[in-house]
Amino acid sequence: MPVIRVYVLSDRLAKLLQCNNASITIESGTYTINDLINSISTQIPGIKVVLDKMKDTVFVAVNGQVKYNFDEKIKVVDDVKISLFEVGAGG
Amino acid sequence: MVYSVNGRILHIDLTNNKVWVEKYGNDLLELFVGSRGIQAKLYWDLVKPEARALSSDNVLFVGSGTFTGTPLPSSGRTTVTFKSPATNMYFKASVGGDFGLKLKLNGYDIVAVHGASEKPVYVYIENDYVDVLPAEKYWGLDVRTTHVELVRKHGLGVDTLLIGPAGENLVKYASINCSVYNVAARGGGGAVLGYKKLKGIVVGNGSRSIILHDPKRFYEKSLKALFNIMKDDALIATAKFGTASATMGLDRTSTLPCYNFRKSFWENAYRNAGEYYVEAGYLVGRAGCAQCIVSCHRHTKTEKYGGVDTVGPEYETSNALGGNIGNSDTDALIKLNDLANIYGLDTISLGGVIAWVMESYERGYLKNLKDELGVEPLWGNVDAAIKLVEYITYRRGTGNLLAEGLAIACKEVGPETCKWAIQSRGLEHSRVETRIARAYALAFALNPRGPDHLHTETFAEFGFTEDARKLVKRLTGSEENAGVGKDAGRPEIVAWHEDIYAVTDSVGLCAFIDTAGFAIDELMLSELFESATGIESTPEKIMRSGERIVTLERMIQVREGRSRKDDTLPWRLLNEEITTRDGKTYTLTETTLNSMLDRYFEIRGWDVMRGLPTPNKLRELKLEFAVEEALRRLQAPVT
Repeated sequence: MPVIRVYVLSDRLAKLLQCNNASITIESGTYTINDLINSISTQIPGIKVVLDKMKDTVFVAVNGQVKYNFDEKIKVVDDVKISLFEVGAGG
Repeated sequence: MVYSVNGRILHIDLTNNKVWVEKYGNDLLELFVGSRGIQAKLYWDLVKPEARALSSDNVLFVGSGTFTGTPLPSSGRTTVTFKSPATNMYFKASVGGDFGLKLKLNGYDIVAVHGASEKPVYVYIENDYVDVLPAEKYWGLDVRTTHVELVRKHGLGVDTLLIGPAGENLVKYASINCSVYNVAARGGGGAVLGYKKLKGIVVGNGSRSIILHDPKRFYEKSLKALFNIMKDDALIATAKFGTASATMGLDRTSTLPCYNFRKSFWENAYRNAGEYYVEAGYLVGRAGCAQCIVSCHRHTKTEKYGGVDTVGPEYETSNALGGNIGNSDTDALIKLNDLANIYGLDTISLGGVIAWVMESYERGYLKNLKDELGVEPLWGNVDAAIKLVEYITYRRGTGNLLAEGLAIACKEVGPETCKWAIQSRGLEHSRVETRIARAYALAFALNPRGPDHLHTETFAEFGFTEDARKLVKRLTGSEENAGVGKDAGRPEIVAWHEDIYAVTDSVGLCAFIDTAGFAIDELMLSELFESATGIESTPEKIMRSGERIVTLERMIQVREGRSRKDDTLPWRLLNEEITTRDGKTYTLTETTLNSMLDRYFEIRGWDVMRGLPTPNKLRELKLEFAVEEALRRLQAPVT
């Protein structure tokens, strides 16, 4: 069964979520990003609240592509890598 | 007695092979703060308005900041000033690395390079020993190889300021590289040195000490700054993910220019983001400039393209050679960045030129390039991009025209192609969508460099952090003015950023510390300046010095022919609308830009019709030497 691996890249976010990384196994199939986040929330309980409250500054990357529409469906056959991070500075 | 600086300017005349030292005192330091400000004054005195950029009449200045060499974190920035071959006007570039620190420890704050040599040379400086040495054996070598050869010759611990083949070949956007990977990229300073036949400057292990006026107070303030940096969210993110951590914030706000400013966001933007470089394993280490704990430089590697082990890419490069040319191949991006590093090219201009080539080709121009390059310059074709870098650097075939920059190339290929040549005043536009980020639009229109970020980075406009939103409220009266797509308060935001940037550059501080992060404010800047130099300072006085520098730079360019009509942006950005991720469309019209300019000139106390500092304003700022020029311009018709 595919494994969803979650990596929290930003330090402050990791502190808020009290987690640097987590993983969960799911059945193969088609899921929305929201479905995946719901699954992850069993391992990272704060994730839904954080994504809701910080929706303008937190990013979710799925297999190397940032997703803004959490209703977007993705087909899960192999393992999935999800990265979470906060908006940065730079220039 | 001067404190915190050496009070010494090293003049080198390459035409007559002469070297002399000029001393300066607190009077100059009090008025102009340090490197950028003092160099602007030297430029006013030494570079005639009619001097051509590529001539022996151009003088290039390079100097370290007033705080460089002190315990203050992130204070190792160096300013380079010259007449730009891209804009034909006064230009200042800022660069990190260790060069400025080492120069200062050798007893000089600024080096002024006059004249031109007949044969390739380089300058070696070690305390009072200054020599102009032959450089034929290094001419033609890339920056990295030259640096290694010179370190091998002069010993570990020396540092270099160098040009690569692009500078030697007078490419109009050739860079000057310090410590190989720190780049004074913009404006073609590399071509100025190339014309002078100066491969570079090597600084030895200097034995001077930096003496502070009130070391105890300065150390206390430096420690406070250090703690502020360590708890600043924006700087923590920059430390971990580099400047390319800006990519996704700009993508989300639809201010990420892609496909030559035809798109403001991109589905593959993450492939050009600092977080992705970490996630995908490209990042193998971090590096910082002298005295910096943020260490935003990225040490990256890829096994592809024969193996690349380099520094970067920064945000601007990530976008200029990434989404701007439709490139989602991170390995190719790292390769392109490395080629620009070692050839000595400005990646922003390079990316602007390549994107213009790709759009022109798509529209039926430059069809010869398919045969010339052996590949079609289509969007995202990284092989074509890599070939173009080589062609431009060595001025091969069409590369000879492209090496002149967009302003010249578009006129040659067809005037209609100038509509998608994203440049104004001869400089290719930096990587932010100015139709939506309106403080950037105003800042870019006014910037003496051209449409560029590293002079007035108004990052607070985005309001990404609480500190940024607080600053916008302080400057404009309302936190609601934070965020993109808004015009309100932009002139106030720009004027404040211009002033603090002028001070920040002059003391050698990294602008990320006080305008992207907010670890140091005006009060702390003034306290640091006073305790370092012994010159009385207040927040108002230090910001007034910033205003003085900005005003002097405007007067220099006025003397060189600039007027309000030049305060503009590239054609596309003033004539075509842009669509955001949410489907909204934005248009920045000349009327809107002019309205912001009017307000800006009012705030400045300048002549609004001409965009000209008034004689009274110049006297108020103790710039009496420029009054005569202002009076002359006031009598001329408005253009």
